[in-house]
Amino acid sequence: MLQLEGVRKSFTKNGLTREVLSGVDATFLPGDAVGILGRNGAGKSTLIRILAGVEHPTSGRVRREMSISWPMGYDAAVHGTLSGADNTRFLARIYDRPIGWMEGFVQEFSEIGDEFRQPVKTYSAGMKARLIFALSMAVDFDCYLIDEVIAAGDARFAERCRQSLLARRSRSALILVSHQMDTVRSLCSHAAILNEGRLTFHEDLDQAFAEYQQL
Amino acid sequence: MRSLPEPVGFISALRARNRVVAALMLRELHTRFGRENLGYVWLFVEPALLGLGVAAWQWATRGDASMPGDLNKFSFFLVGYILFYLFRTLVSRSPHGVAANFQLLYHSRVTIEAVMWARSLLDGAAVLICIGVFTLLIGVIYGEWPHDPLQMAFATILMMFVAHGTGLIFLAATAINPGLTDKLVHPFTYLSIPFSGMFFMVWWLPGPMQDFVLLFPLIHIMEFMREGQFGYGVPFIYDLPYLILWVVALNFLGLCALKAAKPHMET
Repeated sequence: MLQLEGVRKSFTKNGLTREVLSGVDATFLPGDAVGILGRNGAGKSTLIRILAGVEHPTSGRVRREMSISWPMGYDAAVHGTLSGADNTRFLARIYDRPIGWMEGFVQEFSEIGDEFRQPVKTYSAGMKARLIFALSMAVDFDCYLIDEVIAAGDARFAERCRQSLLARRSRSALILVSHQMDTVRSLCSHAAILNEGRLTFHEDLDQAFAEYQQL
Repeated sequence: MRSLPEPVGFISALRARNRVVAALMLRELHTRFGRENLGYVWLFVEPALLGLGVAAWQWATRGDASMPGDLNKFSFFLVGYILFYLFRTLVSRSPHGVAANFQLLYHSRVTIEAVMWARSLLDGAAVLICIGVFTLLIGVIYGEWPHDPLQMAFATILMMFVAHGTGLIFLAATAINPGLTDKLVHPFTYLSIPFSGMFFMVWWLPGPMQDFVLLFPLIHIMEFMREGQFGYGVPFIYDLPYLILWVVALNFLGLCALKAAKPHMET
């Protein structure tokens, strides 16, 4: 279970305080596939970074009782000066996966080939996206956080990502933030709208889309 | 479908945490030193070079004058400086703890506390090995073997804890003003030198001065280290319970400050 209770987050820049999240309550369970819709600047990225534990709420509580992936869509999950293999071994140690197995899986799934032994900073954007996605599949999280990752990489790989995520929807939770309704429809069973710092859940996708379009 | 995962027990949580700290230590080795040149050996070379430099400088400038209590001049400053180096390196790097490792925080199992632990343990181990090697060399060259090597190791561990707690406080302070904290940390570590006992022992000082310097924790560690290094013959003035109180207070304060600072930290 991943639960938010009264989560608020504000940022202070040049003496001005802006509240991005003003009291978000949410519960995500294994098997949930939720799309969070929000306009640019609605606080989607802040919300997903708080879910991932990268940032901490100004007030309120986050309870994590399942393993949560890093927010996919950021390069930050891997270290640039280390090779793909080094990054893989590090994550295998942290998440207690067999190191040799994980190296094999990631090298094959990401289709990186021999460059797996080269520093990640020499990779193209597509290769990096494939590496990061392959790593997350190898760790096998209880909950996947996705920040518009499907756009990265080529169309064939994007489709493989989608299939892989759909295949584990029965055991893993999926939280996707997006401003595009199509992306949400292709992966999620229900949706929530983030607007003016608050999150509203909708069981029905079409109802959510209708409301989102009126914003 | 809507079932909750098994709750995690204390022992397995502890094991997971240890695994994370161990993985972070290996990664720190990779990212800081890489595999080129001497690689990991640099971890020991830096304190060793600095220690040798300070010891040679003191040895040269003090000429033929012997040390009070006739202590070995070279080993006095060598071990003294390397022990202080542990404090200096951990504290002065602490304000960059989050900025330099923000990628790690994208992994929910990795906490900033674990990152700081891994760094302290790595540098602590490096300094411990460095002091061990020099103690051995001094024994072979001068024929002066340490009185109690275990006590010397314990002193190094105490120094690691004092530096760790102080570092946590500086790290928490970066949330309020990162630029100012970064500027203040260097004067702080330099101004700690006169209170560290690196260049003197407590019994060389007049009475009132002794009471004053003994307020600070570093001097107690240095005296404790030197008792293990030289044994009896000169007075070693320290208060172990007082020092341990400092260790507990600094680490407790540091963890509380870090917890309070987390919502304001920028990653």
